[in-house]
Amino acid sequence: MQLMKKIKPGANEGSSISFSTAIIENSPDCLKILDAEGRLEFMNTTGQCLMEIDDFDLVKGQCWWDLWGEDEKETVRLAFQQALEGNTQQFVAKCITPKGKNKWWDVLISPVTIDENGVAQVISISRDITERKAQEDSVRRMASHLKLATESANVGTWCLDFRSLTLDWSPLHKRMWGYEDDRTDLLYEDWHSIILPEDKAKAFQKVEEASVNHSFYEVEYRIARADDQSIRWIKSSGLYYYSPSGEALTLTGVSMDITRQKEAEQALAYRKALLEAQNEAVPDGFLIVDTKGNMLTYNKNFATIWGIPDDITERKDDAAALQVAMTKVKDPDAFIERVNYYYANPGEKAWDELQFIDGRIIERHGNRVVDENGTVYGWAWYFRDITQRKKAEDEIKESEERFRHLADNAPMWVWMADENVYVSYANKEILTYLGLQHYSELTAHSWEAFVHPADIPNVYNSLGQANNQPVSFEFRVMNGANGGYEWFQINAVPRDPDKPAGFIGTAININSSKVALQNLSQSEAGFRLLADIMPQHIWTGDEQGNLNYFNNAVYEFSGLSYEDIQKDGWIQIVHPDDREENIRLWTQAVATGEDFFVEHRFRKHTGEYRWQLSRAKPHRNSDGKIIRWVGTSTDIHDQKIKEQQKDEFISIASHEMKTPLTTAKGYLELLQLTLEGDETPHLYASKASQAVQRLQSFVTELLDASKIQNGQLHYNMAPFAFTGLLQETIDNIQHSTKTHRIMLEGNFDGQLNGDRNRLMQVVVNLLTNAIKYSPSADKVWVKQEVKNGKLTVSVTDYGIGMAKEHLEKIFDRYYRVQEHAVFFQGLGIGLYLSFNIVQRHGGSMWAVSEEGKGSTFYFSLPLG
Amino acid sequence: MAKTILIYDDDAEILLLCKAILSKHGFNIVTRSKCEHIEADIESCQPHLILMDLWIPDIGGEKAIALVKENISTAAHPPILIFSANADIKNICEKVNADGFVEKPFSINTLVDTIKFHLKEGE
Repeated sequence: MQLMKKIKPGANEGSSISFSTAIIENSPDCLKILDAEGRLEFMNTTGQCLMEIDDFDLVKGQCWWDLWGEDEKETVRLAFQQALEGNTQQFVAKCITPKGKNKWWDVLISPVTIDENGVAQVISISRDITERKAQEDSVRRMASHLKLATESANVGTWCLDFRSLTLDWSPLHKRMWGYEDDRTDLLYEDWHSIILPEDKAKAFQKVEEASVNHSFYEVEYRIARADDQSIRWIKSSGLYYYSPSGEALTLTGVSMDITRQKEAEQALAYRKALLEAQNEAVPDGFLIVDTKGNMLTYNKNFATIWGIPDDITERKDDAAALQVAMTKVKDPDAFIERVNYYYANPGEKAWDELQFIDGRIIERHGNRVVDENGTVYGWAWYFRDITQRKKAEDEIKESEERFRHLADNAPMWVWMADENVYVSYANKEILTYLGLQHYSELTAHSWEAFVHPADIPNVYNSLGQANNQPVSFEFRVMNGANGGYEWFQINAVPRDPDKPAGFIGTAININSSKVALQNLSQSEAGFRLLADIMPQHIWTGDEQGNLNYFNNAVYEFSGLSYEDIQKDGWIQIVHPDDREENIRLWTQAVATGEDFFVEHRFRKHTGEYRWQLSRAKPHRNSDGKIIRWVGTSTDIHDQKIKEQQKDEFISIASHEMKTPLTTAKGYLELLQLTLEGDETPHLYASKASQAVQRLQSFVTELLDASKIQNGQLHYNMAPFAFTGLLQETIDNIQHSTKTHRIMLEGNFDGQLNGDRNRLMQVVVNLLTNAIKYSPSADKVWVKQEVKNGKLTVSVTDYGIGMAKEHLEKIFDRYYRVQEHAVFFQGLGIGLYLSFNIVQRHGGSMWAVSEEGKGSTFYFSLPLG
Repeated sequence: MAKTILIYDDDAEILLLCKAILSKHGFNIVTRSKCEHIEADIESCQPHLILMDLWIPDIGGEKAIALVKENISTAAHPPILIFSANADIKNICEKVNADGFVEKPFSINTLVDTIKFHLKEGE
């Protein structure tokens, strides 16, 4: 009650009390006075009004906190306790009025100190903040909504306060920049520092302009995000807010990440550029028109193909373009009719070829332009110049016809097959052979019926997909006429070298040669058999002279096996003395390709050496190239021995004959000398002497002939003056001849390489013959002449001559013209000897003769 | 002084003939029908020239000539001529290094001229 007195000063002090009362009663707040127990002592009228208390007396003396709701009671009691202890307290709490109205209160509670006894009263001033609270809630909700809205739109918001240079930005904005959204330490720096330097100037310029113009701005720039440095496109817009004096206070705005949009834009631009490039790059001309036929787009080739002037295409003047087009095609009416037909029948594929007046052929394709929903936007027309292709096609067609024509008239098989070995073409030769009318009868694998079953796999192997190389093989095909198989050789080349696409090929009938070959191999076997039963040695060598075959006779004779001969060589059976010459001659034969000919001794398995005559000839192919050597060795041992014995006999016999001849000749000469002057006896002695002389010649010739036969006649080759020899011989013969004069014509100063004695023998022979066979003549002519590097000597007589049939044989051994035998003696070996001597000098000898007129004998010798 | 010619031949008739011919030409003739003692013969007869048959007992003319050539110097022995009917006489002459040859049958002129030729050479 003391407080009441105190704060109700009007009650005690007159005017001042009424002043205090006026203040209390006029306060807009609820004023209460509580006693130390918290009981309500007083409440002003405004308070009662605010609290909606109609009669204060009903609540007077109630505990203050009991007026509050259960949730706030404790808060209120604690604040009262604090005030009681001398501390002023403030709190905000909600309280429901007795009439059920929710009210928010801002409560201030203070102790009222009266005296030294402490707090006796507490004053509570409660301000009704219900309305303000409601407004605050509304603002908070609005802010929350805005935040949600901006965040959901991916829009970051920000506000820059120029006065404090502080930046307030939304969490989304922070995230957009790559910062954690709860960061509170971010500065204006952190906002603009991550803008890419190349975009920064542009962005700031825009912002600056907006500042000057007091206008809204919008900029796009890139940032490198603070967290991952990823580049993002940002679109920011903002607005300045100015003070009434025109000073910029804040800059507020929003930012959006437009990276994806940007990327999409770029992708779109790229696709557009690509499409344009493609349009211009394709060789086709194209034109897109809308559903009404108006030009939408076209490329350069379209204008080029149609020859439409630029001004028309640029204007997209459909009518003019069509007019131009009409003048280009051969049949404008059909052209238009066709277009209209396509428009009327959109389901049909639009494709045709246009004949141009200038000769070009243009292929036209049309497609409707339809989106996925089936909306038709127009038509796309493609024009392609196929003149060249057409021409090439025509050429191919023509060449194919030519090929067919050629193939059908070819004297061999010509065919084509695909990669599955299906015959796609067969010429007339094939069809005739098979007994078919047309190659279409050879469908798929029907050819198998004609091919020998054993050869079918080979055909597939050779011509199937596994092989794409030129191929040649043989197979048997049935002759339609008689059902028999004949051999054919196929030669085929792949139709496409890069991938299996079948073959084109020929085939020739090789039946006869194949059969001949089979016969040949049979006959070869026959020859082998023959070779093996022959007593002669038969052997062959390769083109280099290496021996590679020997018949049985070789093995039987030598006692060697094939392996022995392979190991040590065939030469081992040749007598050591004969080997060197053997090898020399063989090497020479192989080198020159001349026949090989040698006599040598082979060792028999008994150890005995036997003489063999070996000869070999090269076997040449059709090109003349030696492919092998074929040789034989014939046992000539017995013959050789007999000949040696014969020669020995002749040699001994002639020697033995010469001894008495020597004596006879000597004594006859002595006798002649003794009888000199005594005419008749001297003549007898001379005749005897001549006879002995002739006998001596015959003996010598006989011996020489025997030696020639065995190749043993010895020659001493040396250069000498031939004219000297000729003169000397003539002198000698002239000396013993009284009947004839020997005349020499011509001169030769040079030297000749030869055996002087043997050549003298030749001249003697010719001179004695000439004298002998011209008994009625008195002259013999000798002539020497050098011509073409040869010395030719002729001896001419005017004697009995001889008939042609004899002329060919006169150089044979022991040949004598029989008709002359009666008149002329002699063994007839002189010319044989002479002929052989001249031959051994590399020269030649021949005769010209006429019966009854005389003969001329010639011999020529090479000079140098 | 008459020059001595030593003739080897197994045929007595030849020896007689040669003796007849050559004696007439003023030569002193010594004949032998065997040749193996040729060195002793040369020693005893002191011939100015030798005619040597090839087919002669016991060792043959070739060997006999070889004996002389081996054992007596060329300057010290007389010229030796082969005296034979062998057709290869010229080759044999070269082979055995004889000084010359006379082929049988011979003409008197050839025999005498050849001998005279070689005697002159020897002088």
